[in-house]
Amino acid sequence: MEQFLTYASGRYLKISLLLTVIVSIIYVMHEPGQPKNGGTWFGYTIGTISALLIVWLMYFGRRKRAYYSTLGTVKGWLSAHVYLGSGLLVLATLHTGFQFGLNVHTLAYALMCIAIFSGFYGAWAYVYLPIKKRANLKTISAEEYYLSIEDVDRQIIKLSKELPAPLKLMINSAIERTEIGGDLFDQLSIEDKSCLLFNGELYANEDQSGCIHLLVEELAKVTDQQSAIQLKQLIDLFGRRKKSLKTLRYHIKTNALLKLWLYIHVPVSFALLAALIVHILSVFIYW
Amino acid sequence: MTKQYKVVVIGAGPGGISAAAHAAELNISHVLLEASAKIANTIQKYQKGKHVMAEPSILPLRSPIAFEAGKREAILDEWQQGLLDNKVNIQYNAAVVNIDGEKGDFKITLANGDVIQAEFIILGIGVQGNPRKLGVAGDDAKFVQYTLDNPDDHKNETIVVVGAGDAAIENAVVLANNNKVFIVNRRDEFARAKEGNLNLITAAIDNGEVECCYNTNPHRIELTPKRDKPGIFVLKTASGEIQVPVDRIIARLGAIPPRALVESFGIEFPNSDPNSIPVLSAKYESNVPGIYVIGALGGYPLIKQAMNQGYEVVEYILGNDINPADHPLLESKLEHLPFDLDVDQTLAMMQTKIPVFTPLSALTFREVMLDSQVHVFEPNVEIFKKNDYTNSFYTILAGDVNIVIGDRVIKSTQGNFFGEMSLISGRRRSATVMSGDSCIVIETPRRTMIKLITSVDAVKRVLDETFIARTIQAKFAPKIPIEQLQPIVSKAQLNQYRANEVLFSEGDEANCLHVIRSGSVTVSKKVGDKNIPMSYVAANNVVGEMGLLGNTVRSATITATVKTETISLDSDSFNDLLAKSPTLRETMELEVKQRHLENTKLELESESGDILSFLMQQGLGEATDVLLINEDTCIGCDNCETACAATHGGTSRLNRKAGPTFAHVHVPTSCRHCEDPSCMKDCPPDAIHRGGLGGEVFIDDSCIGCGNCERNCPYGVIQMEYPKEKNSNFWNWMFFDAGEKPGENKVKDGDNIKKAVKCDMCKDIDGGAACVRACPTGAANRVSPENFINVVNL
Amino acid sequence: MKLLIRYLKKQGQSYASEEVLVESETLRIGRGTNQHILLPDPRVSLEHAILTSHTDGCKITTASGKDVLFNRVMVKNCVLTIGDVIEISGHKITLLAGEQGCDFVVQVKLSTAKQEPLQNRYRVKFTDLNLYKRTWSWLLFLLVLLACLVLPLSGVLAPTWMETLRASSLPDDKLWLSGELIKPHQFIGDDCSQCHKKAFEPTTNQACLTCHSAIKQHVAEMNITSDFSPLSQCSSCHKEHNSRETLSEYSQQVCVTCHEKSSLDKVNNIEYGSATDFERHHPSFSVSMLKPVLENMLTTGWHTQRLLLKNADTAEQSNLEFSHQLHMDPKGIMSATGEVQLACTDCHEPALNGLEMKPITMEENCQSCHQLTFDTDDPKRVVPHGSPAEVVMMMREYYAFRFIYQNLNIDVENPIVKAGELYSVRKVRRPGRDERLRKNFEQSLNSQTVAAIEKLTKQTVRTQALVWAESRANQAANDIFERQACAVCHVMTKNEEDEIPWQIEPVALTKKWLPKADFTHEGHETMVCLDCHQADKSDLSSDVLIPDIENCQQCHGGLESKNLIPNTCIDCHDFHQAKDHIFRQLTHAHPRIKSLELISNAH
Repeated sequence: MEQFLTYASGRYLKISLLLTVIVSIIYVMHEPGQPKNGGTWFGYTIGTISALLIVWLMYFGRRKRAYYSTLGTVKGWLSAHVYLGSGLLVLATLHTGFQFGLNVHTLAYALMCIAIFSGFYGAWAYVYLPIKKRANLKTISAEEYYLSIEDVDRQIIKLSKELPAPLKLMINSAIERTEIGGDLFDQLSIEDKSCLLFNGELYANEDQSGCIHLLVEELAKVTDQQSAIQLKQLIDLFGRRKKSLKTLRYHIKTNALLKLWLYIHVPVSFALLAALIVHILSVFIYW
Repeated sequence: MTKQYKVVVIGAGPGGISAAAHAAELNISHVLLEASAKIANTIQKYQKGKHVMAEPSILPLRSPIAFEAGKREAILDEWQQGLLDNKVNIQYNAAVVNIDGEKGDFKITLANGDVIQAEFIILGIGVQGNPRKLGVAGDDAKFVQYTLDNPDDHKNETIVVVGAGDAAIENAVVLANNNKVFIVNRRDEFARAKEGNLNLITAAIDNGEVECCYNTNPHRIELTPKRDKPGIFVLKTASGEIQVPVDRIIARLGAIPPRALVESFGIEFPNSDPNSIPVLSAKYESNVPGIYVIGALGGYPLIKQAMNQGYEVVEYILGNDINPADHPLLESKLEHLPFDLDVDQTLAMMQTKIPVFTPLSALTFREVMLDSQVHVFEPNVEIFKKNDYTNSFYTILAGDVNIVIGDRVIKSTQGNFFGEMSLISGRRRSATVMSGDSCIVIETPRRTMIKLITSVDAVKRVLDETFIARTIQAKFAPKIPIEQLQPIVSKAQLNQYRANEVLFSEGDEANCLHVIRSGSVTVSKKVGDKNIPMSYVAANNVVGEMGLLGNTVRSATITATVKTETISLDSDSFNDLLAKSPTLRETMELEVKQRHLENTKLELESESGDILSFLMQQGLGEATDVLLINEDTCIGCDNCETACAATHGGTSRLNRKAGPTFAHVHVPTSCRHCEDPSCMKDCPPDAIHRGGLGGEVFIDDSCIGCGNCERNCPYGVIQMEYPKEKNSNFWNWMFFDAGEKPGENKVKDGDNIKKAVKCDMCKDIDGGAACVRACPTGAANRVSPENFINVVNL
Repeated sequence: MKLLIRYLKKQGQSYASEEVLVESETLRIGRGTNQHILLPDPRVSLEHAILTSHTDGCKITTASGKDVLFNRVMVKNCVLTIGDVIEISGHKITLLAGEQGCDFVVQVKLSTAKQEPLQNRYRVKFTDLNLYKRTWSWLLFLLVLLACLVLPLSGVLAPTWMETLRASSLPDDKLWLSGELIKPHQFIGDDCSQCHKKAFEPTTNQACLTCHSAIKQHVAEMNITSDFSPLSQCSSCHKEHNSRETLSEYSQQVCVTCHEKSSLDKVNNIEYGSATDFERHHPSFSVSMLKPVLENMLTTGWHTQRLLLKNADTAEQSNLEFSHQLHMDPKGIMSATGEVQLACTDCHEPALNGLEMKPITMEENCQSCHQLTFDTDDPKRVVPHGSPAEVVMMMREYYAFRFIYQNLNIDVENPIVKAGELYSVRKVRRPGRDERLRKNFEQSLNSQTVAAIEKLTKQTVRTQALVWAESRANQAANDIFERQACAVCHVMTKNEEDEIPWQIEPVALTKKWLPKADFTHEGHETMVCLDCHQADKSDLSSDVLIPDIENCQQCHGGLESKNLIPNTCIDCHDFHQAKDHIFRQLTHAHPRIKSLELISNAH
């Protein structure tokens, strides 16, 4: 099953390449009788093309939600969006004639670059992250991991009932104060902020190691068969808990990465749109 | 003393009510016996406020009791009222346990021991059967119920649910949210429950949400009007009695299927098939003279039909030979026919002319004709095309048709039938059929035919034989006329396999081949110590011929993926087939070669084998077109769902997240358009159809929201949904977040009913499946089983 | 205070109670295991509230952002008296009267409502982050629009406001500056409106001409027609805001667009040939020369004519006889000081960076050899290089006095002798020059001579003397005008009726041969004159020694030329004719020739 980069065996890649190559050749060829800039006939031409291209690229936001549209498939559009978007980088750069400064024109160009490069990241993410995600989850779904954790917790609580109070509280706290997800940065960093309370003191419990450690110590102390088995089970359960949590943290991270870039790509694109409008207007206000 | 009536109506369903009321109208001595405490038990079980349809709308109502589409409650009240107005003599909680005697003098024994004498009996007890009672003292108390209308009606009550089945578990768990719930289980585990429900209940019990009493039996119920709780439920546990003050007792002990009861009355069924219906005369009279069967039990699931029958049957008893209510319908159906006969004559003529229908009772045939269409074709009109997904059944009333199989044209003449292949296998048409000269054919919808096959053995037999003969001819001996194949056909046998049953396994001695008639199979080979499925073979294909040709042992194991029917030919008959048609060997060998090639495709990749078996576990063996998501490219944007919702009135027919995943293949919860769709099995208004070329299974607007399909679907891809508003302007949402997001429409206000919705493969949307077209990365794809191989080999 | 905490736990149908004794000033309530009252429920925060004693009751204080349900209202803090109930997400906490020596009993009834699934308890979905593309998009969009469009535009509409904008740190139309101005323009500063007068209208020439008023148009007004329009805009060649040193790229293309077809100068109606490239397509040179305007064989004036060099009959008519060949004879040429070998530079001295040559004059360049002697007996005696009348008069005087001097005995006291002395001692001087000296002499002559002549008239020699002098002078004039000095170089005409019959045709030497181009000898020093000017072969003064284009093309090529010096139009041709001044005059007019008004070139 082909995916969007290889759509129609890279039709839009070819188109985009062709376009950029042609334009570049013309750029090198033509002598406007003045420094090459956006003001020459050729400058105006690629300027117009680029502007239209930007508008069209932004229309993708509509097309992907135009569910009745029979104008190609969203996959095809995305493919075109990616490749022509990359082409835009060349076109617009030539349009600048490599004249930059502290002005709205360069602002527009800069915004465009941000949009495009965030787009590059997005394309990469869309291709590789799902694979990483799947590899991480190993054939079962995230929901199943959550369920398994809930299940483990239930068993832990059950088992911990017979344990001495401080240990019981410790285990409760370990479950209570398990951290997963959270704000953007927590989601992006897979570091484990979990902690636990033991004898009224707060300890870090990264990867449940703190808890397991305490249980192991306890296990060393206990003498009677019964509780030894219990502790072993608990340790084992926390081990499983740790595994699932680890997997989920990575899963959450990947999900966040998959979505986050759009929150740069889109707003910047709109900023770009504004800058583009200003760019065009200003150039003609001060013709 | 035993009371004496002319007419005794058993079962106060629509039919019964109508019959009794009509009897009352005519001042015939009568009694209406209802096993439960309310009339129309089945309709009582409908969820609260459910809208009840009056299908078929064209059919006029003929009953003293009024009935039109409306809210469940309204209708029930109306009927109650009707009974009063007509002074119907109705007796509740009067379950009939036995009938003996004969016409003119029946003795009807009730559960409470009373005996009633009757001249005629009208049996309208429906098919749901009666719920099993608690059977303990005081189980007639108000707070004892056998259904749960609406869980939200109960809050902060103490409720005891009795039973260990799915129904009981579901009730208990849903009630536990707002109530104190006990569940009473006779045994020490929930053995009968589905996996999902089992987890639910165990979890609920662990959390102490539901108190479970194992190894406990209900003992007795004491009314305690004084206390705040209306009663005390006394339970017998291993450790003695416990008393639970209760607000409510819900017993979910299943129902007693009526058939046993009915048979005990001496009424015969044509066969053991549970769907079969008793043999009835044109006047609804059963094989026991004087006992009339109406309503669902008689094969008329629709309310209006039943009520009409109620009316008619009373007339018949009085000896008035009135035309059934459907008469005008038939008239209009038949009027365009070139022979000037009245309806009954035409029907009779049809039955005589068409052997398949001859064994049918006039009534059944009438029923068939009501559903059927009669076409008068110009010569050389295409009746259906090869690879169409239509599956109706055609019989030739006059003239002839030409069946085009490849380059050959077979003429089929008056009395013959065609289209049974697709009818039985649920697969695409295997040939194109053109009308011949002066050709009149009767088209009977699949549903009707299936009903017929299950209820009339004769029809089944005929169809099966022809099917076999034609299959063999088509598959092996195209040139040879059917007659010459007869010996082989007679030796061929029809086999049925359950899902995952093995037809034959690798290494067996090859003694026969199978033509798959319906269902599908997987071919698996031993690699190391485990069986790895290598390919999937759909209906209308041949398996096992490799062995026969090589005349050796089986090279692979064949396993049925779903309930599968095959026609098997032993090696001898296969050999003389080979003798009969010299070219056969080559063609078969070619097929074998291709099979070999296909097999090798997978042999290397053991994972893809696993994937294939995974797909089969998901019941995709019976799929014709399924949505698969490639997890390696899915970015989880849910655009597929949104697309589906946006293009289908705001309700997504697929759930991306849900559904199992294996390796990179994810099977979201969405319709796979089964070969033999379970959802179609029991649809009162026959609102579920199979589309044309697409083969999509879809629900049309005539859905009455009964929810049968939802329950029948093994894959849970049908939902009951309220109709929703049209969505607001897109740009307003896009720019100002005004109005709804695409695909998140508001529910229409006004009392609408929930109707069944499911994937219709976007049959009405040009461009095809929206989910696939809306997938930005090409992860979502609709695949038909033949192409699973391509999916799993990535 | 002492508190008894009683947990009521759902046990089957009834509730089992479990009691804990706490002695503490504050009672901590929350999900955390370090809390006194532990509510194991994710909806409760780790430390949700504290309970402290308060006048005959207790006081609940919640952690920031948390609250409790008290009398069916959410409150942050509240005071409990015995019997009051607070609820924290479904868990009821009741304050009861103290038992067993406790101040109070706190009864905790844990709600058994179904626990949320794990993934809803944590924020694990991206959507939980409540980020909104739409909001951010609008924010940035409007921000950019406001800063870069609205504010500057408001300034454009209200110039005074613009001033304040520029003064303030707010964004002004500087944001629109597409590139730095060139240095000479930078004095304009921020005020775009200096040049950009009207919005949505290109800058006009007026904007430029306010400063550059003197600049000349490429073509005279009357030549401007629609097809000149591209060039009628300054901005069509001069592109500002490209942050470079010069305003215009002197690209050949600019010229070629017009000049690839031949054009007509309506002023002097001259047709200029078409040119696209110096090497490949350029008309051969035309020289501008003066042609005498003749009235009955006499030159009365001059008019310019353009002649193609390559035409064989192109000849100069300067009314001067001169042979370069003769003068440049390698064997040398006879001069006053004997044999000399003349070099070009002896006569032609470059002026104005070699744009032109210093004027050639009799006195400077010729006289050293060509002395205007007229009397072999007196070889030092010369006539002035002036008009014939002067010459004749001078000779008459000379001979008159010579007669007198010879015919009187030397009497030193005699004033005439004194006058004669004047003559005899008079050193050779350039006639016609040294006015002052001559004037003095005339004075002396007049006073003394007249006296002498009056004296003489009393004597007999008077008549003889006049006759002699007259005849000798005529003889000499005939000789000098028609055979010797003048005729050597000048074209002479003779009219017997006149009192003085001889006339010298006026002379005009072309000063600027190629007025349409600026050729400079500077930078060509490496070359020898003869490389271009075939003077050594030129015998006649009518020869035009200006080389044609082929000569230049030996070294100079077009723009793309590989092996030659690449040249573009403006290397030779000046667009605005800024240098259109005095040294474009065609001629060094001779000051003596009164009849000749200064002829400047036609442009």
